[in-house]
Amino acid sequence: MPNRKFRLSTALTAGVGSVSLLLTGEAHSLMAVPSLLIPLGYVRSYLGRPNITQKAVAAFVFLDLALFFLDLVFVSEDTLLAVVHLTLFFQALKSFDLNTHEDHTQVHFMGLLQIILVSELTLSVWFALVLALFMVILVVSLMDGYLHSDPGTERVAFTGAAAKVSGWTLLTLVLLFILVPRTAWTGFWGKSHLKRIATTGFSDEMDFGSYGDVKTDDTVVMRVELEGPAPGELYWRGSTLDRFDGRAWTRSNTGERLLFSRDKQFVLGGQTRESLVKQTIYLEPINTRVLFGLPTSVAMEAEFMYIGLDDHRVMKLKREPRGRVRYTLWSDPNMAVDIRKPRPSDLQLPQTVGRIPDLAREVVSGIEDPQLKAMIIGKYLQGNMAYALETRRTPRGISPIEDFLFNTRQGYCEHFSTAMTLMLRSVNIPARVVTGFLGGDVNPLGNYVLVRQSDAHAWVEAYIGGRWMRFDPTPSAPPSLRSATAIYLDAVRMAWFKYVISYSSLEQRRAVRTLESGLSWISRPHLPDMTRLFSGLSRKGLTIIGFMAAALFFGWKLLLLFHRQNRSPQRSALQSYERILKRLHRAGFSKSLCETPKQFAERVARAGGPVDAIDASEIYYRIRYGGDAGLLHELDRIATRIEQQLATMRKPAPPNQEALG
Amino acid sequence: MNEEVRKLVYEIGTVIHGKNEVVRMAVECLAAGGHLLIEDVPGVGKTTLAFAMARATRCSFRRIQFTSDLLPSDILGTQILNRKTGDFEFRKGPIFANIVLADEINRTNPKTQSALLEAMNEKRVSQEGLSLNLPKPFMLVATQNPVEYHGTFPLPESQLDRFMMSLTIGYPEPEDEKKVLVSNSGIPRAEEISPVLTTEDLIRIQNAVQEVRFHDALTDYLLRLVAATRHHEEVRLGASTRGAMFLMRASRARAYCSGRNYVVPDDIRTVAGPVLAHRIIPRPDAGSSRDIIKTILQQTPVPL
Repeated sequence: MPNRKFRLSTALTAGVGSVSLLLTGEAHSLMAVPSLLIPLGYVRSYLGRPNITQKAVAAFVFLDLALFFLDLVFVSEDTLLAVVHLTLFFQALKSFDLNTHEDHTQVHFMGLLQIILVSELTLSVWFALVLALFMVILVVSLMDGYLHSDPGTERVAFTGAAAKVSGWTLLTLVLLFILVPRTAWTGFWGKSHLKRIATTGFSDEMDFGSYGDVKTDDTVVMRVELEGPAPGELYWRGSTLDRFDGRAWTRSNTGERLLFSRDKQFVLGGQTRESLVKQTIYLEPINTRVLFGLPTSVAMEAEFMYIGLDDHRVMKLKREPRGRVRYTLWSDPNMAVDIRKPRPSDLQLPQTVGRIPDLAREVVSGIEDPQLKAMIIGKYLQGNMAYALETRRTPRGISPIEDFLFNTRQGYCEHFSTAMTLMLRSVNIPARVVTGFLGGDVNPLGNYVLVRQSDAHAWVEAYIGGRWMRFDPTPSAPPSLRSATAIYLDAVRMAWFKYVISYSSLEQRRAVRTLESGLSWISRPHLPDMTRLFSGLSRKGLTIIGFMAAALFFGWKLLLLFHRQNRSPQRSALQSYERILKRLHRAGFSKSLCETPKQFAERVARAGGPVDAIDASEIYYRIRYGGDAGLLHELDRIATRIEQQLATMRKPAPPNQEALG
Repeated sequence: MNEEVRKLVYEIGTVIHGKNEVVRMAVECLAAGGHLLIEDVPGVGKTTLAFAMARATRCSFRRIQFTSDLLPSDILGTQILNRKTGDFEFRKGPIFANIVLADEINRTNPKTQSALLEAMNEKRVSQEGLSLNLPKPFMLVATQNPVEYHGTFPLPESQLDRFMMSLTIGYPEPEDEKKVLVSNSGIPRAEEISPVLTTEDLIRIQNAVQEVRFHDALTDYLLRLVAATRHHEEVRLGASTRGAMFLMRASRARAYCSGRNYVVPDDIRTVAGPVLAHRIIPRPDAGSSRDIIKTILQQTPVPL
C-alpha cells in the first residue's frame, strides 16, 4: 500500500484532471454520474473500506469499453469526446480499485491524459494555471512514489531530483512549443470544440431590431494591437448592406472573388501611401465569415490560404472560423474605401418608403453640394432623434423606419444609418449601410484595444465626388465604465492568446530566422568547413539542431548550477569525490566497494599514485561526515591537482588489494 | 589526535611499552564510558594498564582479585549492624571506585559474576532494598586468562555483552621488553605516573563523545556490519543490538580521540574488532572471532 502522501496526490490528480475536464463544459451531461462516484471512491479508500473485487473491476472495464464504442458511434460521434468520457469512467472505476502502487500510477497518467484533453477543449487563460498546478502535483508525487516504491534504493535528495525532472520537463515543453508547428484552423483531433460567439449584423441579411440585444452584450469579440498613426475614431469596418425591403437589409451580389496568399501575405489593392496603420487582430470564434479592420486596408498577413474580397472591399473567410483567428492588417486611413462607381442598387428604395423622400427633400432644400446635403441629413438626424436602446414594437401599417422618423423619434445605430441611407438615396446620392464595430476600450496594460459585442455599430457610406465617404448619423452613446480588475484580467488573457495560443508558424519561422542571423555571424567567418560538412542539411535544419543543442547545453549548465546551490554540501562533495574516483579508475586505481576512502587513498599513494588522494579523502570526510561546506572548493582544487598528476604519470601496474581489511 | 588524549596515551605508554594502539583503545573505551575486558596471558601488563589509566586521570582505583570463593557481598558491600545506633549500615564494597579492576574474573562462580551485571549496566548497586549510585566515571576493567581452563567459569554471554571492548595486549617486542626490564628494576613504576587529567576532564570528554556527529549513511553501514555477524555462516550467535549501540559509541570515542567531531567509516572499522569479537560465538570448526570480524569488514560495502 503506497503511503498517505502518495494516496493524497493520487486523489488530487484524479480530481484536478476530472474537474477541469468537466469545467470545459464539453462532456455529456450524463457524465455527472461517474464524476460523482470519483470523490465517493476516494473517501471510501481513505476510510479504509475494501476495494471492489477484481471480477467486478474486469466487468466494469468491459462495460466501459462497450460504452466507449457506443459513445463513439452513436452518442458523441467524435473521438475526442468519447475519449473524454472514457477517462471519466476510468477515473471513477479506478477510485474503487486502489490496491497497488501501479494502480496509483495509472491514475496519475490518466490525469495527465485528461489535462491534455482539456488543452484541446479550451483556450481559457485559466488553463495555464491548472496546467502548472497539475504539473507540480504530478512531478512531485511521481518522484515521491518512485522513491518510496523500492525500500532497497538509497535515498536520493528529493528536492534536487524533483527539481531536475521539473526543469527538464519544462525545457522539453518550451522546445516542443517553439519547434512543433501548430495549425490555426483545426485542432489535432480534426474537429474544434469551441463554442462560437453569436453575433448579428454581419450576415448577408439584417433584420431590424437585431442590434438592440447585442448592444448590452459585454462579450469580447476581438482584441487589436495598433501600431502607427491611429485615427481618432476607430471604425472597424465589417460588411455592407445595400438592399432594403422596408423591414430587412440584404446584400446584393457584390462580386466576391478569391484572393490567394503569397508567403502568407495578401495584397488587397489600392494606391498605398505613407503612414499606414498596422493592426494585429485577435478575433474570437465568431459566427460570421467577415473580417474586420480599419478602413482602408491595403495588405494583410495571415495563416489563411485565401480570403474573399468583394466590390465593397468586404473581406471574408472561406467559412466561419473554428477557433480564434489572428491576422495583421495594414490600413491607410486617408484612402477612400472604394472608388468603384455606384450601381443602381445603391439608389434603390423600398416600396413602403412613405414620407421619407419628402422629408429628405425638405431637409436639404436649397442646397446643391452633395457632401453638404449628406452632412445636413446627418446633423438633422443627430439633432432631432434621440439615442435609445429600447424601441417599441412597430405598429401595423407603418414601416419601422417611418415609425422611427415620424413617431417615436428614438432608436439606435441601425435606425439612424438606415434612415440616413434612405434619405440620401431619396435625394439621388448613392448610399449603403456599413456594419462593424466602433471604438473599443483601450487597455493601458497591454496597450491594445478591446472590442466587445456592445461596440457593434452601423453607419453609412455615401458616394460623393467620385468616392465613397463615411457618415455616421448616430448620436454618441454614453461611455460605459469598466472595472480595473477586468482590465488587468483581460491584459493577462491577451498575453496568453498572443504568446501561447496564437503563437503561429510565422513566429516560429521568425524566431528561427533571428537565430539564423545570429548563428551565421558566428559560422561565416570562423567555421567555413562546418557548413560544407553539413551541406546535405538545410540551413534551417542546421539552425534548429544548433538551437536545440544550445538550449540543452545551457539548460544542463543551469541545472548544474542549481544543483550546486541547492543540494546539501554532502551530496556535492560526493559528486566531486566520485569524479576523483573516476579519474583514478581510468588511471588504473579502482576503489574496492568494501574499502573506505581513506584506505583506498593510502593504497593509491603506496602504489605510486597521486599522494593528494590522501588529502582528498580527508577533505572529503570533513565535508561529507563533518558537514564542513566551506571546503567544497578545496576538494575541487585537489581534484584538479590529482588530474594533473595523473596526466604526468604513467599507467601503474595493476593495484594490489593488500590494504583491504 | 586530540591533545588531552595524546597526553594520556603518552603517560600510560611510559609504563606499557610499545603498546600504544592497545593503550589508545583502552582510553577510547574509557572516553566512551564503556567497560573493558582484557583477555591475555598473565604478566603482560593488564593490571598495570588499568592502574595507570586510573592514576593518569586521578580516578580512584580498586582491584578485586576474583577467586572461586568470592561472594557478591565481597564486591558490592554488605549491611552491618552499628552497635552504637543499633541500625544496619551499608558498608560499600570495593566496586565503589572510578576504575575497578576485576582480575581473573572467570575464576569466580557465576553467582558472583552476575552480581556485577547491574553494576555494569546501570552503574548502580542494589542490595536488600538499598540502591546506591556508583561514582562517576565508572569503568570496570576485567581480565581473564585464556589458557587456564582448569578451575574457571566461562563468563555468560549476557555478561560478556556488557563489555564494550575486549582487548589483547600480547607479548611486547624484544626491544620494548628490554625497556621494561631496564626501567622497572623492581619498582612498580605505575605508582609514579603523574596525572594528566582530572576526573572532571574525563566526564567532560565522555559528554563530548556523545556529541560527535554520526552520519546517517554510517548508521546504515554499522547496522550492515552488525547484521552480517548474525548471518555469517561461521557464526553461531551474532552481535546484539547492545553490541550495535556500543559500536556506535566506540566509533564516536575513536573519532573524538582522533581529534574529530564526526565519525568516518574508518573509525567504525577500527573499533569493530574489539567491540564485536567477544560478542559472537563462532561455530566449533570455524576460525577465531577476530578473523570472522575481519572477513566481514572485507565483505561489507563501505558508504562513500
